[in-house]
Amino acid sequence: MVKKKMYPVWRKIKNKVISLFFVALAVLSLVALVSIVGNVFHLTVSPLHISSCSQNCGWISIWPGIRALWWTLRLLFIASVIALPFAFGTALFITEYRVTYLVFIVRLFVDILAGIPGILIAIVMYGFQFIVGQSSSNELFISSLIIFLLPKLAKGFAEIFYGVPLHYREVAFAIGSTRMQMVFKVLLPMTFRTLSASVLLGVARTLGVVAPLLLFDSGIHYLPVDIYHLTVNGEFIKAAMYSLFLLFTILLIYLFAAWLDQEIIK
Amino acid sequence: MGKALSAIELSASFGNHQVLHCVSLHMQPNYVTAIIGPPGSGKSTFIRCLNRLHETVPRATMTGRVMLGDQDVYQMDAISARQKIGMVFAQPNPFPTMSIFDNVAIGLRLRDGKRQIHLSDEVERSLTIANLWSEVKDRLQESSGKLTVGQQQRLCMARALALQPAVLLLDEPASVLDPFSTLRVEELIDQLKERYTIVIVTHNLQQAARVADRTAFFLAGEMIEQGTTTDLFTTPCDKRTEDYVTGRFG
Repeated sequence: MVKKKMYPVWRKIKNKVISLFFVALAVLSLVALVSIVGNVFHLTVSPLHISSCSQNCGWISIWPGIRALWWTLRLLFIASVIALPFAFGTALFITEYRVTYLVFIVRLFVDILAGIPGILIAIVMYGFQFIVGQSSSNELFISSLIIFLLPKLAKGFAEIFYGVPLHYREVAFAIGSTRMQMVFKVLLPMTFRTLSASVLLGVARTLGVVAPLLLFDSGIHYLPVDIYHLTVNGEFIKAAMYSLFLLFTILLIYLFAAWLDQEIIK
Repeated sequence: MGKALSAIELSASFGNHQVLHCVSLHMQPNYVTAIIGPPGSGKSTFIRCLNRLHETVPRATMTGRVMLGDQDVYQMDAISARQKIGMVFAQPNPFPTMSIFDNVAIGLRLRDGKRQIHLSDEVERSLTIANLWSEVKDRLQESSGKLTVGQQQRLCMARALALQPAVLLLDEPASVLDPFSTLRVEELIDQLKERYTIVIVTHNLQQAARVADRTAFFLAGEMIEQGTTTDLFTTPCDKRTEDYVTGRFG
């Protein structure tokens, strides 16, 4: 007969307290999220509803938001297209060439840059503006996005490559593939969906960046920056509408990333 | 036809840690040579040196020579050496994102690129040799993950055989298989030795006795003894071999 293991009472109490603590934290986060989303909805939807019904100007109100979203996505697309190959190359360098000191240094740099607050990156770029003296604010704005995105993508990619068991690489070598063939014919097809999900999550994170980009008053419409300016100028309803677009876009990106994840699990 | 493979004064290290000490072993053509020994005795490292896979490991070094027929494997291009000396690993590891067909064809595609014309024929030939064709011929485009573990291991053998190697290295090929699948793999090894020189690493002494014509006993990175399987198991020359095959240690 199997004897049931008895835990001391204090241990049970401790477990309960810890569980309650985490449940409380989860509830708090949920309340915060619901309050933000609810507030945005409340501020946005009701005036739009009134204006579209009585003055038929709903589309006029929405249009600047859509335009700002379009600009934001365009900027993010440009930043991603430039950052992606560098991030991919860096991740391959630190995962597939593991021994040299250079690899160690690059890995350390990527780790530090991935964790560094965005404002510090922007300050560096701001200082760079004074040194070079020729770059426009727009270029610096996009460069900041790239530098913000690049280490996060590189670290994400590297983690994904680390996740591929070594024996698949060995098999590829054993059937006579070169390192390049191993990467492009074996490693990439195996990780493509995960890499895509990682790009989406990186983009979603960059979409929320505000503070570092405030340094560059470039006149570019970037949704989070616009929201900040609108709020400071007291245009709360417009800011709320922009926030709704931002929330909706992030939600879509996360849903797509989650769908990709599910496909990977399948 | 298989070719003779010879290791001459082979030593191998990982960083400062030497795991193989001056091992010389001749593996005759169309024979099955078993490498036996307790864990950590350098068996796997030895066969990984034979097809130059050892050098893909960071900080791994080796000295000595490996001869395939009259060619020095370490004077050849590493890629072509690995294509001539195929290898199957302990864990069945077909590429999960590829179909059964693609898993067998991948080696040929990597070697020949788009020049490969008779790919389907080659895949069928390899699967037939690996005794898998009748089981998968109607589902070649299915994912390899849908096969049983035993079938996956035979698929890995077919993948290695597709490149028509002269030598086939098997690193504990049945260690994760059930007894029935193990039997199928052993039968396959018996058939394959007519075409290939086979080197099998195993910790299963009964398996070595069943499949191997010749056996070498490794201990702590040294080759203690080698000979015909019957002689090594019944009348070993070295006390350590006798202790190992009689189960006193390991």
